[in-house]
Amino acid sequence: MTQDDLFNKPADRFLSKEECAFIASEARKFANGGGITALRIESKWMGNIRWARNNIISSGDVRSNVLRVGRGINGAAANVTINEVSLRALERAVHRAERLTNLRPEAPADIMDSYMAPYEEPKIWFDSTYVLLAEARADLAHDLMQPAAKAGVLSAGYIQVSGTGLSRQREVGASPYTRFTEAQFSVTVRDPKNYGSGWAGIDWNDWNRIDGKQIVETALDKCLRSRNPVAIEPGRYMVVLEPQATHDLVSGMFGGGILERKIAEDTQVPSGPYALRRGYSKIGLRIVDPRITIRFNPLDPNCSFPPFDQFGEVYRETKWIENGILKELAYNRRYGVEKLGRDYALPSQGSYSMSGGDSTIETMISNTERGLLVTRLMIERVISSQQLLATGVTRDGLWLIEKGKVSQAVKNLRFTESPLFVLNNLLEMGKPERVFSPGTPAVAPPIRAQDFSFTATVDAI
Amino acid sequence: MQFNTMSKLIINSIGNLTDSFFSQAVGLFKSLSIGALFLVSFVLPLRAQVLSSSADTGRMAWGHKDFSRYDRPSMCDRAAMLTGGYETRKYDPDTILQIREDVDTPLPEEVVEVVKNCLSTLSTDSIDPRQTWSLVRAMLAINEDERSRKPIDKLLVNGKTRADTMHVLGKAMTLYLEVTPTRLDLALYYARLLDSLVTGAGVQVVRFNIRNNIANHWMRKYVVDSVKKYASEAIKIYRYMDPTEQDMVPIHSLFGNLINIANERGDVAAQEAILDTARELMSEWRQDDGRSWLDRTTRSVDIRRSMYGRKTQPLQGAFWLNNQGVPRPTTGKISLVVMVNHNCGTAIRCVSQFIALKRLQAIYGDKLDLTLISVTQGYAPASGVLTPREEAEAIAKYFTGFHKLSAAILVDEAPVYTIEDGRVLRDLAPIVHTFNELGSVNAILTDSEGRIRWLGNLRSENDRKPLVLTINRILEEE
Repeated sequence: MTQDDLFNKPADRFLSKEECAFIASEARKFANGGGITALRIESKWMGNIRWARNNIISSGDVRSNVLRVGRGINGAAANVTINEVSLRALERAVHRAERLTNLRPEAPADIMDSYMAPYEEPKIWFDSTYVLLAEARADLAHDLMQPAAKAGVLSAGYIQVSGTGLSRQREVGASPYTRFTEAQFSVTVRDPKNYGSGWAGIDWNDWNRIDGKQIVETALDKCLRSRNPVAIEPGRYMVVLEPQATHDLVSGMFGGGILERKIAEDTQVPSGPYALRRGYSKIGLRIVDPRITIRFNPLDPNCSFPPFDQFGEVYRETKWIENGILKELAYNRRYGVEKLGRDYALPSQGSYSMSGGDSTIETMISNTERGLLVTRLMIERVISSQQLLATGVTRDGLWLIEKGKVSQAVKNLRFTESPLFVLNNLLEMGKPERVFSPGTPAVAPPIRAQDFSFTATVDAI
Repeated sequence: MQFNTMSKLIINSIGNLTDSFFSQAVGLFKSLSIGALFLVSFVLPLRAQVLSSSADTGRMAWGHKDFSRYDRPSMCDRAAMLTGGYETRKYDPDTILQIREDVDTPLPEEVVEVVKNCLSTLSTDSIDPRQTWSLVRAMLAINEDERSRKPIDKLLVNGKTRADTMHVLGKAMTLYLEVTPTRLDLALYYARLLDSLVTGAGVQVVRFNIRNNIANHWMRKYVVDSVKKYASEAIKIYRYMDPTEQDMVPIHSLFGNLINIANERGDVAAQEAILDTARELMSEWRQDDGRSWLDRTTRSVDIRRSMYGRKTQPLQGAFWLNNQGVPRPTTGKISLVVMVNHNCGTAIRCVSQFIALKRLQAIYGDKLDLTLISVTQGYAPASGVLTPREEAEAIAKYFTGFHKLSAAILVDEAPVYTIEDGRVLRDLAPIVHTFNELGSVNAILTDSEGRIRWLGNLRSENDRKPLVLTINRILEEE
């Protein structure tokens, strides 16, 4: 590869492994003053199409390159982030990083830089996703909006496909590179006259695993069945949560740094849902129903994701919760070395795979004397991060269950509930399945739980 | 005027940023201070650029000494700051600004010269009112305290609103709350004026700045021979406060500072005199923690009295490295034993300590035998999980290789146990207990006969001073 190849010719939709390595080698040529030059590169192509009221309204094709150029001289390290792939931009970034190192104290090399664990490459690249260009997406969208149009209702949908190259270019040791595709499709169908609304969505790395027609049918069916809802009194109800609703509720247990072990046990004040008391986490204690096991594995074919994070920390297969007992919390290598005597990191990514049971949604409904069937939950605000108590509303399909049967659609309700409470009030679980969770793939089961707290009726559709 | 006046003013005002109270009065000053901090933080370290830009570009730059173009006080202020910063770098070449210790030294002549030249054509009447504070700062830089009041009083007279007046008074106080008694009086004068406008506002400003140790610095200039007199003067700031305010300020820290000064001189009798004064004066304050402080300090002073002059035994620990087979402290040389931490990276407290050690070695060379003590933590800089032996070797490499300190290394092993959630916890190593028994000190200085001559804490450049005094005294004796 030459400079002309990379910098003066139209690039592919995102940077390849060779191109990332070439950029790193070119950046190193600009380095003055010795030390190391390291780059983190996230290069992404993303195509999308969106429709609303049965008409396509936008189509996008986005390409972005984020290059984080790091210089370390005598341990004084500094980073500069750029989004332009050119020799001039690289030169300026390297020199700016060098100037910044002048302002930093010197130190031995960071513990985080000195090690890269081996990893297996999950199957996360699919040509079927990458070839879905604008024309194909438009054809798809056209077909997928027809059922709703024929039924006399309105649909709004969004298809997104992307290809990403993620690389960490280091001066010594391994320079990992991984590429992956992501595809997502979600659709909302609404009956503007009769307050009916249905939603369905899914995401996979492989577009071929997305059955668009099935998703549209599901959303349309929910829309038609949820028309003319009646208001019911808020209160504590038995609920049957569809997999997406389960995910909406419990995903908060695994995202946004909430799994960080340091936060749970290495703070002056107990913090987060996994903190027990000052200095101690709940590791080893049962925190949810013993039927629940939460797995995390980038190689899981039903829930796969890139094998390392932006810092080069390799995701390891683990069980955060096993048989209801909190087994592990996430930590970086520094925490592992300093506090646990372990020479590795256990990063989390927000992704999870939840165990299930033998039941089905139909069985759960038939076992319910009086309760609610919930399509999805929209969490608006976390009230207490200690208990993960959150408030939000039900959306896109809520039905009353009476005497083992779905009796009628009901108006949406506001809930105030914690996933920790719900997962301790479990009655039944069904077969887990992939749910809509772009970027952090998740597998969740339908569940039946008692005493779910609804606090108000809302006019949300 | 002191060398680091500008830095202190900046630091003091930035400290105020965290407090919501009084924001109205000091708001403008904060923004000015942030600008100044930017200047200090980003301009000063680039000395290579500074040195290369001596050509007259028509803009303010290093080496630009054509004062006919300095037509605004802010230029004088900036010239003083740039020159002062440059002189700082010359004085402490291996210290980046952020970790430079707050040391009082005379303002360099270069700075005084720059400011005097710059101010020669400027006066209170000739400047834009918006430049008043720059003028005041420049005047303070060359110790023209009384003259500096004129522009402030002019602002007060011309202030149109109550907020204007509060702003001027608050800012004046912050500028004057400095290290000399004259300015302290000026600060209190403006504090009282401010209090007459808003009850308690002046007290708040005083309190914030005391928290930043201005008063302590002031005390540091006066010493132990007239302890009672100066201790009484120190607490006049506290007398000005109401009782609830007094509770929030640890008055004993003033006495603690005085005792440290006495300890710098190895004067145990003076320490006891200060303690007596503290007992007498502190009885009128309501602080509960004062009593426990008195107990702790009394114990430390007792320990020092009993240990000074006592002959030491060689230290014992798990691993000796770089010691040529001879346990330390040893006889035949002045010996300094210091407890250090090898895993605090670029934390300012540690970097400051290492710089102080380097300077001591630079001053005394082979005359001073240095021993560093650390304890195992299971890991070392840039390493993974280590066995105690590996860690001891990594520690030795870190101090002798990375920090280039020529020292014997003693690494003691901390008892390890694992709790049920998988965490590895470490107990205090035996050597730490030994140092705790000596009154929570981290450094011991012995003379060539192995007798203890100084016990205390070597944490930064400030703490180097007593060691230099003591070592010089020992060298003179020997």
